[in-house]
Formats: sequence, structure tokens, C-alpha cells
Amino acid sequence: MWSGIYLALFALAAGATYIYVVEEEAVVFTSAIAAGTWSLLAITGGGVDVVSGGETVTMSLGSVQYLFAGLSLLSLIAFVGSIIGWYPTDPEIHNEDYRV
Amino acid sequence: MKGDLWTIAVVLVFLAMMLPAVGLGFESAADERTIDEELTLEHQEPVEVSYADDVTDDDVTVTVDGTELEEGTDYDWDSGEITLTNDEYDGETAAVTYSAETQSEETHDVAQVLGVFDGWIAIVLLFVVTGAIVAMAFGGSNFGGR
Repeated sequence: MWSGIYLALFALAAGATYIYVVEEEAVVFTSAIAAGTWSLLAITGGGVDVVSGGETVTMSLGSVQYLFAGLSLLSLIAFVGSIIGWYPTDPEIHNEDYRV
Repeated sequence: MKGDLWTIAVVLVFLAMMLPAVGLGFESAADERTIDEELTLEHQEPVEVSYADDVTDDDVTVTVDGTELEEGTDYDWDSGEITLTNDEYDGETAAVTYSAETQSEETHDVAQVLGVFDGWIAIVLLFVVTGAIVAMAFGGSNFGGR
């Protein structure tokens, strides 16, 4: 896979992960997007084509692929959890947030 | 609830499309690699190397205890199969080096973890659909949003 497409997919996966982990918005949708893209990144990470000095060099991400696979599984768990209603957990309500 | 069902439907279609995409990604990650492996040689018994189906050329090196064996004299090489013809090396462990167009070791590991070959992701999806139906029947879900 070309490095440009790979980086675009990485940005999509990272963005989707940020949205469902930090913003906790549209969790079903974003965790599914994250699970799909992280798994694609993990699988294709063994053959990323980079153009360097006019020559195409194929690079392997090595152990980073395991990290991406882990993030994919994590996102899949979040996806299943969001469907069932286990994730995200209810936010803690602090009294000081509601002072008049 | 209607919007929730749509979200789940869209997401499931997306995931169903992603499965073959990941499979294609696995195929496209194949590249020409030099494979080093160890095999136990047996006289007149063909022994297959790990990536026999992906061997790209007939250039192979077989070494036993630092001695490089000669093709045609000590062994025969037939597209991923080594047959020892010199009984002097019978039962010896040989270091075999050859070229194959295949995925990296990490890619194979990751593919196994993600279930590309096992198909257990289909079971997870089935679990999700069941969970969605249960959640819709008894409430307590937060489809699509918080």
C-alpha cells in the first residue's frame, strides 16, 4: 500500500479513536470505523511502499503492527460494548458542576 | 429507535465490507523475501519448506554444520521440496535459505490475531447483532451517541 494512503488511513483511525475515547461521541459509528481501519493498518503494515529518491522502497512496520492490531481489538470491544450499553460508562456527576 | 437501527445497519454493512478489505490487504502485503529456516533432512524423503507455495525462484542454499551442500549431488530442489540424495547427511538439521513472495512474520501473526483465517470476527458480529436485539428489547443502550 502506498504510504500516502497508509497515512490517510492512520489519520482516519486516530481521529475516530480520539472521538470515541475522548469526546465519547457517536461511539458505535466511530469505534467501528476505528476497528476497521486499525485492522487494515495492522495487516498492510508489512508492505508500505515509500518513494525515496525516485525509487520505490517497501517498508515493514514490524512490531508496530502488533500495536495497531491491539488498537483494533480495543476498538472492537468498545464497539460491542457500545451496542450493549456497557461503554461509555455514565459520567460521574460532581455537585460543583451544578452550582448556581 | 429508528435512527439507532439505521446506525447499527450502516455500521454492520461497513464492518461486513471491511472483512474482505482486510483479506485483500493481507494478500497485497506479500513481497519478495529471503526466508531462513531449519529443516531435518531425510535420505530420499522429500521435505517441504514452510513457504513452498510461495517460492519465487530455484535459488536455494542448504547448509549443514557450516558445509554448503551441492544441488544435484547432495540434494534435489523442486519448487519448495528438498530431497536428500546423499545419505551422509541423513537426519542432520540443515539451514535452508530461499526466496519467496510472502507476507512478513509480523503480518502473519497479526492476521491470526485478527482472525482473518479463523473467521471468528463473524462470531463477534453475530454477538453484536444479538446484543443489539437484546438492548433494543430491554433498553439501556446508547446507540450512535453517548
